[in-house]
Amino acid sequence: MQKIKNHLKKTLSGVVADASHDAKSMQEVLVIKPEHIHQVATILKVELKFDVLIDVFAVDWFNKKDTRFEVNYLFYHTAENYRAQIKALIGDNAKPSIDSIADVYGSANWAERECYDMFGIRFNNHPNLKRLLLWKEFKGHPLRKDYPINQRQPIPVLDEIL
Amino acid sequence: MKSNAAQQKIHIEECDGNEMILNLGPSHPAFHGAIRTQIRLDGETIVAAASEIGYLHRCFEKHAEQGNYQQVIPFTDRLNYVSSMMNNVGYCRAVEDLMGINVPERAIFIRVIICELSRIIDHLVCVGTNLVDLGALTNFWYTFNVREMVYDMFEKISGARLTYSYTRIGGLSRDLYDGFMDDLKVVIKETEKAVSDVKGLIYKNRIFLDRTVGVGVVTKEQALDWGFTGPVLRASGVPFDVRKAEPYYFYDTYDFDVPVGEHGDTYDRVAVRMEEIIQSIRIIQQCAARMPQGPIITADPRIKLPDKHEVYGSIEGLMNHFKIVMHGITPPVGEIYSRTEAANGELGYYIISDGTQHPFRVRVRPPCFYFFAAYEHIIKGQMVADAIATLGSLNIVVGECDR
Repeated sequence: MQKIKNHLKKTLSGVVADASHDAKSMQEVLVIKPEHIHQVATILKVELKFDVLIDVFAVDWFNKKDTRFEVNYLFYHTAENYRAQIKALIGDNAKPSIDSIADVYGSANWAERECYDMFGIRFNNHPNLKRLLLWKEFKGHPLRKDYPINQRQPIPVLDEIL
Repeated sequence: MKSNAAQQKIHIEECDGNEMILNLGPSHPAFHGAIRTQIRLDGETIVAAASEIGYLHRCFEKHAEQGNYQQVIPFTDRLNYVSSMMNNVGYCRAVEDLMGINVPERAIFIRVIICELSRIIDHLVCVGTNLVDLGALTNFWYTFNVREMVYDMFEKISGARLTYSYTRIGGLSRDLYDGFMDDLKVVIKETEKAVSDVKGLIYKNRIFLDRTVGVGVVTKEQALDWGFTGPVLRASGVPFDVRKAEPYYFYDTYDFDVPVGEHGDTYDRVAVRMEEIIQSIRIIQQCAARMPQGPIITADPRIKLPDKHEVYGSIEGLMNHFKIVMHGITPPVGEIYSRTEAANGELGYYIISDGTQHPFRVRVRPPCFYFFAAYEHIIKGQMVADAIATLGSLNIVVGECDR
């Protein structure tokens, strides 16, 4: 475990802005810039053997002026029983976007689609970036803090999915 | 609507007479819940598939941000409605860990028992319905009889049969009823009988073997890549169990095994679930033997409503009561990712608190979501009937998948 920790710090030292240990969640938390995410994910998968991407989700920090959106990635290392969380802070508030890691981790595919659906964060190079839980006529992104909870929406139409 | 119908027509014409498009779901008894997979068939072989979810979406995560921390608990019932207790426990544990609350031992032991009972009924439902899809109806009665008994117990504990909302932040809503341990013994005996009956009916059954061995194979590498956890991952040969890897609630002190499959096919997934039921029974027995007496909810004044005689008899009690009722529970500013081993795999809650009474963000990591994301890849090249067998063994619970 210590070996991975050192390796993690060494290999990612160039791209990690901030690193800390979250004792409550029992995992390492690394803060990176969004342009490095594909590189970091590849290092985690290939060099450090983090074999499971547990989850991808976004957070809308409505009050933060420069970095409103944050995409979180939870990784798990089955052999060493070790967890790491990557936080990518997205600078562009109007058109948030980040590179997709669906080609590195298969589980990112739908998880990133959900982030796009709920927060409107675009994932570049995603194989199939469409709404996942909501229908395509839906306007807006409901988990953004400025989306009113009583907003009405157009009636859904069945979609061709194949 | 019209343009969609026209599109569909073009697609079918493109299939040069040999291929056809078929919708599995969103409303079909063999598709457990409102999920839709569109498949392209060559004869009876699936050559392409695409899935769609969202029919049961109610934006749990947005709802959770509206109320206070206690008000999220009833929403969690609706996630995995086959084993609601585990969602209650997972959520409460996340908030407790965020606030640093020590839950009384008795509450923890009761939580473990109800969690393992929930795991048993979840697995029984999964195996039972999966076997019905394969035409083995008798097993359905064996498994659902036990489930009914557990439901009766849960009804006596919490007052509800499906949506329990039994746990509270810091403990439980009420203690066990008198005679719970006697009921538990009967249920365990009946469960063991049901499991051995079902095993006897299926394990050497030629039809069952033909339908499940080598069907819906998920290799170890695929399972890890697709983010699988729980029994489906273990059936593929990875012995990852949150209860063993990151023990919580004294799971490290119980003597139990983690069953692991070899081939990752439908047969292994059924067998792993059957074996996990036996292991859950072992945990329940040890837990019941060690059950301590004592309070069932923490005495921490930040969350516990003071006793009535304190509210009416002292100014501190009255003020504390007012504070909790009016302002709710206010965890300190912070973030936590708390996970428990639910029946389907790792159930994670990522909670962000901004110091107010409303959660800033509640993210659920649903295990089923990742199973169903991979489903369209698993069934490629299989027969339609095998796709149904595979789906049943993955145990997609749509309440959790769609949230």
